[in-house]
Amino acid sequence: MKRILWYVAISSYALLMIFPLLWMISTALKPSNEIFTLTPTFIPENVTLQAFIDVLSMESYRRYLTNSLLVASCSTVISVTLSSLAGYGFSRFYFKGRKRILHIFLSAQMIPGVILLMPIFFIMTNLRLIDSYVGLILAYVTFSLPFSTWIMTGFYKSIPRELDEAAMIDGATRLQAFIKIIVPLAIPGMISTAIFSFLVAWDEFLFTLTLTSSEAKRTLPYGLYSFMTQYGVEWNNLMAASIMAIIPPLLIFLFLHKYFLRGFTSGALKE
Amino acid sequence: MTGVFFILPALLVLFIVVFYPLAWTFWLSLQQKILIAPHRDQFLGLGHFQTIFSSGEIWDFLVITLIFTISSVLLKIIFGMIGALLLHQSYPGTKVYWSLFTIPWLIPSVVAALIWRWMLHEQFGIVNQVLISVGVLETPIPWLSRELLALVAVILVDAWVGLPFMIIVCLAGLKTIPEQWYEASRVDGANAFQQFVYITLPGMKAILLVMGTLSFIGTFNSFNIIYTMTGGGPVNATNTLVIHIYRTAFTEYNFGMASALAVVTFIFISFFVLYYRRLLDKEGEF
Repeated sequence: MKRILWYVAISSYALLMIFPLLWMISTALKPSNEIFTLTPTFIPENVTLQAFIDVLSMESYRRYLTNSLLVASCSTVISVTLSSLAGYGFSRFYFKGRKRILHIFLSAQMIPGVILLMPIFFIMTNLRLIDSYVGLILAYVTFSLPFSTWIMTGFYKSIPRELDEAAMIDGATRLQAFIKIIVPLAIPGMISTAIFSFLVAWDEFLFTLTLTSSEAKRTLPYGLYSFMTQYGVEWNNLMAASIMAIIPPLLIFLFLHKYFLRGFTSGALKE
Repeated sequence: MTGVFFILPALLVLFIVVFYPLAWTFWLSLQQKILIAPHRDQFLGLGHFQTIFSSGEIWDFLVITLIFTISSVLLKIIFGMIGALLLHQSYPGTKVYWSLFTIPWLIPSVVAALIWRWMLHEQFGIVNQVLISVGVLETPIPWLSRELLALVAVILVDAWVGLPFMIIVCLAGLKTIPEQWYEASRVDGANAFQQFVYITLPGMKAILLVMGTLSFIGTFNSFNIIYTMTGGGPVNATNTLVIHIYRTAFTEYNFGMASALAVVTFIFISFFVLYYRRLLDKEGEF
């Protein structure tokens, strides 16, 4: 009895959680005449992939998709590199002010982007980085860098210091010990960091809205937003376009979910 | 010294894109700076702040921000706990449900807002259709163009997007409470409610406090969902501080005023960030 009750409760909860997604999929599989109807059905009467074909044949959509992939990947690589170095520094050296700097890093993550928006707009204008990939990448790195450093610092702490010390006794320099001994062991931490950075960049909207002026440099969130604000939205196409925007995070989650969780929970929980 | 060498590159980037702009925001807040009227640029001192506090508009936006943030965070915590308690069972199928609960997390926030805009569409949206067919409504409601409903809608969507993460963290927290405590209390004759009040809640207190604060800061800073769903409207019903700063800067091009508002917001949110730090310190992290 208790068990049946549990199944009923958790199933209703789960249904509420994923209903919007099911509705999105249902909409994307419908032809246009089934969208603008006052009696919509949950299962499309005529299932069609036309919306996906329409969207993928739009040059602008393909552009948004590649822009997002490019900007997110580049900022991920930079963020992982910088945070791997910084995390090592924080975990191995107890210099003066270490804790304070670490706290400054963490606080930087919590400043709303909009507070920095006006000066960053000026800086990017002066450097002629408005409407460029470099400007976006640089901005996105800072959204993930503080937290990535936090994740990496925690991760290095789980690697015994004796390992690098032993290597240095054997004559390796600090840098050699880091690259040859520690980096290979820290790869799982770097994967978590990479996932976190990628998803942060994939989700970002405010800076792409502000720092890009032409359609050619827009990333996916801005692209989808601009589809919606156009006159006469084709909702089935928009939902198809949205589904494809979920695929990269979904793949990451399916194949790397162990790393995924560690990345996101380490700010709230101890390892 | 070697340690500094490892940290320096990251610190440099943070300095260029966070701390230097932050200082610049403070400086801009003292200027008259309207991008479309450059001939009027001048040093104003605290003029913007006088305008902000004498017009009193900011209190409206602060109230909207707080209603939005607190409601959304409370929903996330309450339903996050419920979800976690449901998942914290050993019946077969828990894993499947766990995955179902997690999926909304993977949706980019702009996409989540788009899905809901479509579901809340006045004429063709599923929400109105369902409410009419079960007899709750007689005519469709224009959800996003009524002031109060629009605010409720953005709160619900924000909570929906943030819920999966809360469930996962709460579940991890529940797992740290020793099973023996529950067994011992059962021997002493405690019922499920008493167990929840005397064992589960105290055991979860630290995590809920940290997550509550973290979620408060994140929700307070929320831009994507509100901007995509309502753009701050109708009228100013969903105009949170963050949205208001953006609109002041990029629809009115009043960078000086936007910076002054940003400074006020920064000072406000700093208290919560400091509180979060103190919580972590107490936990003894790093």
